[in-house]
Amino acid sequence: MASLELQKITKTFGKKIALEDVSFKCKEGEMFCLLGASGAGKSTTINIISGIIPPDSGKILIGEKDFSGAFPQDRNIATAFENYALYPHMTVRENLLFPLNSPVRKKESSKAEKEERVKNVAEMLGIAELLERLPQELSGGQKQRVALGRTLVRRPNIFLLDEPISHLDAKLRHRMRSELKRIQKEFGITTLYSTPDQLEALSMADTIAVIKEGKIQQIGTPDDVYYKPCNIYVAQFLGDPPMNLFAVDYQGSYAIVDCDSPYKLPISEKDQKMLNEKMGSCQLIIGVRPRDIKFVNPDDPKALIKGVIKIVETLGQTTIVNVQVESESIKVKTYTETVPAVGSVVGMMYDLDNFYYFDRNTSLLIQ
Amino acid sequence: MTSRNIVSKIIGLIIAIGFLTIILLPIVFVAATSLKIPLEIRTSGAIFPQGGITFENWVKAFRNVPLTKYLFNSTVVAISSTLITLLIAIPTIYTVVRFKTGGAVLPSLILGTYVMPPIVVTVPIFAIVKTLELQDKLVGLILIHSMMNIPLAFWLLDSYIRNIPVELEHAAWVDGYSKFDTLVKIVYPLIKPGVLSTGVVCLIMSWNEFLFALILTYSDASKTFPIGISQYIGEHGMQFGEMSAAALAGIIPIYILVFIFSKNLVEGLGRSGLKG
Repeated sequence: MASLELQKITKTFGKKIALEDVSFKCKEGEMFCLLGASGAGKSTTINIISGIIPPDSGKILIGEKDFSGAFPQDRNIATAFENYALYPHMTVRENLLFPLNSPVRKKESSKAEKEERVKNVAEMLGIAELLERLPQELSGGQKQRVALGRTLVRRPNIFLLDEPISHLDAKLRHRMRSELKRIQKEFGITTLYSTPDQLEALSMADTIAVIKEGKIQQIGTPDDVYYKPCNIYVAQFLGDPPMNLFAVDYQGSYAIVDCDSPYKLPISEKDQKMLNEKMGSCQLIIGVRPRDIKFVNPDDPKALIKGVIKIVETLGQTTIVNVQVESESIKVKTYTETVPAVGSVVGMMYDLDNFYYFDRNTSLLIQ
Repeated sequence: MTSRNIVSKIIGLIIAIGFLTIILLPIVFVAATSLKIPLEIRTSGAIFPQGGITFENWVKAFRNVPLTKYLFNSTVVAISSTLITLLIAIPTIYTVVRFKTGGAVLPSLILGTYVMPPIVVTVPIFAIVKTLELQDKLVGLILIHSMMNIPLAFWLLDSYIRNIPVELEHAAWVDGYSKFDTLVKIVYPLIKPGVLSTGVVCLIMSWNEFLFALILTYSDASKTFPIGISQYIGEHGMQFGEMSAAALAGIIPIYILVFIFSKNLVEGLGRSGLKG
């Protein structure tokens, strides 16, 4: 077990910048999530940490020691790859024994000890009865467990899990999410976990780093990144459906929404005070999460704006409603039983205390 | 089965039989000639023996020319050169494909040597072999055959290596294996069918090679089978019967080898895009 620190890692592939000044630290025993869309640089980061590709510049510290130039086999890092990377010509048992029989670990334990470890890990992951099978005879979920087992048998300093459950079906993914978290806590090994799924990150991570186009956007606890997104990208990336954004002109007690037929949004007194102190210009973007918007009768004086219901996506207990307001579409998340019919005119009331304000030029959060 | 299916099957069968006849006829002719009475070979134009079967040609073929020695030499040269070819070609193609060793130049250079007709380099090769004092020695021929076959093996193995998902190798590195260990433990087992078929092709190429064997060997101690065949052309004309017997003795081992590996060979050549 050890901490992991990246200092100003930069990597380019030809002219494309894959990573730019990426720095973060995973504390010992922590579950650290790297969250980003595909192509954001998650796999590149993981491959650089494991030593598969060398960075152009920057340092990698494992347990305070500099491993930047070390060979992959000398880093004692275990990686579970996105496509599992099980050795197709070996049985599950041989796959699990493979890291234990490597030249760097061969003499660490006796043959019986190795077999014992494989047995323990296989039992813990529920794959004990699959040990004699070949990878092509396994289902996706079973392959994923074997891949995980191969990282678990050897007690590495650090686990790197590259989108380990993104190819599983929804039900299994849900189960593996809690199971992975349990295993990680049980072993207490520092884990770096990459995923494009914000739910996975929010539910599993101790710390989340949001990455976009090779640049770290924000690092913080799940609560931090969800409730205090540092910029518009993070605010939109976390939360499903994404946050509604309104370009506005701030005018003191209210803001005028910049659209075809402008309307006013009132600003709470607390926010007015904060904005007067912190904002750089009156050109703002207001963010409102879909769940902070409530439907009211269109004639209700509390209705801030009116719109027409266009699309309704029912997700069991909750429903996502697309409301057309002039040329803009606003998403509202509400309980299914309160959804008005498609085509009807509704009034909407915003929870003024849950507005997010961003600078229109820098897209940074004003708080 | 519909009637259209039956018709297309029959047409296919006729074409296949036609091709097989063209390919097999010379071999049948050689086999029949080897069993004919010597006098009949000169007088009759018939394919099959008319005046009875005799093994006289076979006995003479082995008695008049040290054919056993030549076949033995060919075996040594073919097996050794194939092993050397594979030992050099596998790591080379692996580093070229995975680590871009030599950039774009090395692969085209290697393929370039394959495209060139061998006769072009006979003089420099003779000079080199002479300088190394390897002329008329099996070692010399083994090295030359390996050199000739490396580009071929390189080409045949290329697609096998490319077909391995690179993550498997990365996983092995992270699991504690060096790049060389990864080649041995992960890459080699996965390309084994390709290595086998490449090996068989190299073996055949070396077994049949005539040009360099002719210039580099002159004594019975180092002559190979194809050169041996030419020994039946003597002062008293061509010994067709003996030559046929010897030719058959030389191709039978290769036929057995190809038969054993036929499944591998068809699969392997099909995948490398090299057919026919």
